[in-house]
Amino acid sequence: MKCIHCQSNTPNKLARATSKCSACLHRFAFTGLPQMDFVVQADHKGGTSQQRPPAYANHIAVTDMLFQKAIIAVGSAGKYSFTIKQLYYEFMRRLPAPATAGCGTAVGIIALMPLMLAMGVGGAGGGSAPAKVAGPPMSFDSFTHYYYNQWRRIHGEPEGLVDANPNTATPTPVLPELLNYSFDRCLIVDNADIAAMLVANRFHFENNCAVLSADGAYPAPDRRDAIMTMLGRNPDLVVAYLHDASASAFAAAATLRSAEWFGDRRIWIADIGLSPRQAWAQKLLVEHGEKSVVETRLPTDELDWLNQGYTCSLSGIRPAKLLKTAYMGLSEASKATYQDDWDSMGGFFLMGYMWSPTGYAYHDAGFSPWMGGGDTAAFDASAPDSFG
Amino acid sequence: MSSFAQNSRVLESRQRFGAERSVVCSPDNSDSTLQALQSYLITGWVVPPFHVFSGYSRPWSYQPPSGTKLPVDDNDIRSALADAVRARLLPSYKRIGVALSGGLDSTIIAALCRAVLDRNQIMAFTLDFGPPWSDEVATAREIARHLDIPLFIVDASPDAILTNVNAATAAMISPYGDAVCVPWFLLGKAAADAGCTALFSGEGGDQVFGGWANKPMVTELALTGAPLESVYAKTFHRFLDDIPDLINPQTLRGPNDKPFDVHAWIRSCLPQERDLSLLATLRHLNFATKGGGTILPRFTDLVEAHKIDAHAPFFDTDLVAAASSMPDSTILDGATDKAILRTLVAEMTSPEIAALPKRGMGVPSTHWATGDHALGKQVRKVLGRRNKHRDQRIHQEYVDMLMSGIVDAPDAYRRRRLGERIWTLFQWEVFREVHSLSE
Repeated sequence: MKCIHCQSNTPNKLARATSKCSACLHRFAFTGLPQMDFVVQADHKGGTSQQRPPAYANHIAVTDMLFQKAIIAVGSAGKYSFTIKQLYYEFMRRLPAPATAGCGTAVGIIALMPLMLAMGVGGAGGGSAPAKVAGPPMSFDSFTHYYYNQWRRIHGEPEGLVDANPNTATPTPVLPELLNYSFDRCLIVDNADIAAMLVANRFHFENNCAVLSADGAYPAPDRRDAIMTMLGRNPDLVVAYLHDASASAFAAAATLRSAEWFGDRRIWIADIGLSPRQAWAQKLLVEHGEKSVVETRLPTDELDWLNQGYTCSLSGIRPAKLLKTAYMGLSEASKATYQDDWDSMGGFFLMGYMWSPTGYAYHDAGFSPWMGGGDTAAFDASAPDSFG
Repeated sequence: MSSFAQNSRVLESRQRFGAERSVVCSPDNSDSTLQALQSYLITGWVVPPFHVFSGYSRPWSYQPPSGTKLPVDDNDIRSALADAVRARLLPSYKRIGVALSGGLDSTIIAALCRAVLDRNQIMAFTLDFGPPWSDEVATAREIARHLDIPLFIVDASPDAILTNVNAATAAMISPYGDAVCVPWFLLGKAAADAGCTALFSGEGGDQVFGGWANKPMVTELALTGAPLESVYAKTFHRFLDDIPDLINPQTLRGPNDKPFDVHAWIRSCLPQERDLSLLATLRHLNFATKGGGTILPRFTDLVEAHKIDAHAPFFDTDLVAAASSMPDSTILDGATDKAILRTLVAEMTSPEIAALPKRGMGVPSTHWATGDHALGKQVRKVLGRRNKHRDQRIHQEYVDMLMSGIVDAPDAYRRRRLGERIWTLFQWEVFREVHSLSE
């Protein structure tokens, strides 16, 4: 068993007996055995009986090296901040997939293909709903309980992990004069941890862009109030909504038209969220929840899929890819010319999460009412190199 | 070594420049401290008191003037701008050139020059970086036509940059990592060749009147409330977070090898007055750091290398003082930056000209650094492993990964950031070679 500190190999039997590297004596978090030795005292459901790990753990040889590789991959070797859910999906990609089952069962797809490779093969057609799907090896709760917490106990918190709870940060007052200013752009994200991740990776700084979660959880209330005031000071604000492929996320889009957000201002919102077709094409991990009834302007097969309760989370996408796609989505939204009827569209246009240059996007397919185009180079040149 | 650096000399201050210039440059060039390198890699220039020449004192010592504390309105700014330009139009000038990028700042300078000069006394020069970066040429042409100024298009293709990069670097008294340097050299050369005795530019407009660079800082402060020095440090867009990867660890063993503390340096540049607004504080910082550190000296070095005068009226002391007394809403109003300059351009030209898309000149540094042309090959050669003269303190593995696109950074999805970083490294190596610097 290889030690992540000194790279020395310790015989498996010795490692399992001592849980320590024989060379440097650092402790192992995992020894390739089912995680039985530490689950007794940590019943995450509040019970007192021994909490057995999921059945799959009996045949998955998780080691410290495997877990560390997931951390390195999700953060691109320490260059990006990431959420614990992104680490979870990265870890899932490194575990063997369970047996596949029919699409009608309450399971999902596991993506074994690295995302960066998947990007290149995602055809413009966008794919179709998979006939066979396999469930994720474990739930997020199980991952946190059996693996992440154990890693943290032994090796500490991974560098770059984003604290998604804005209330844990030391509150700093917002400068009152900032309320006189505004942003060029605004990105609304359907969950707080992805919003926090984007800010931790300076997305806001590079794009003069406010980043908020649709549920109001990010940023902290006082800062959020100030940002909402600032948003009101730009009549030409470019707004985009980035979200999971889920019925609830598409339904939540309607709340962005409430008075709380933009009132009666005629600001178009570009929907750059993940769509079912894009999730299928990229073979992202799919989960299953409650059936629902949501109405969106998606094609019928995608709408049916959503209403069956299938979901695909943005957290399954590595930060590097997610930042790039959000940037491209905002770039396209900045260049868009909105020619459609406001009332019938409700102030939204459906762009779709773009996997440029080969990926499926709704406007590529002629589905969107949005008119525009071009590459991002022109947008990128908008900020000059200090030239008078 | 360039003729500029070979002889110790003192350059006297010129007229009413905001920055007083006093250079002592020694031929002993064996001392290039590690802090000088680190500051260059973080900011894009060598931050004083660090230096690359032994016995070299900082050429520019800029003390941003405080506001007059008197009410200032648009008319005061109009007058201050016109005065700043007129004071620099010396009677000895038979003909002057104006660098016209198509942005707000250069448009105003061109209009003010034209207001007091005949058509045959002024020429405009704009850069053509080649397609698809030629959009601004059309804007510059439209502005020149409106102002009735003859316009000259200056070739700034990769081949032209490659041909002139060594000569431009020889004209620098300190390395400047921004890719605008060779273009400035080309503009100065074109103006000199056309018989101009001075070149005017809109440099400094962003610093005085709050350009696009303020916006990310406003965004960061609103979202995170981070300390101002850490917010400001991000605006350099170089290697702020990568110094530990970029500098070879074995070079950090000397007693003087304390790391350059960029945050402490920025704090030292903050204004003494504690009651200044955010924008006033940023204006002071912009002058004390970027304005005096790189924007004005590099413009002057590269243009005056052609034996003509270089003028940046936005750095005028009185103008800066007047601008410092303006209400902040004239600097940034909602998301509209340079609000007052937009008004002035409409007045000085026409509403149609004012409505033209204006971005200033974007330099395609990523195309230069990574493109499939002779310049790109030269960049790769200079930064490659086979270059035995490269600075050994810079970690070659990091450079290799940067060049191959493996090195990732949170802003890597913006291609221009890659070009800015590669060009900074390239310019450092070229400077060392041209000025025969050792480590």
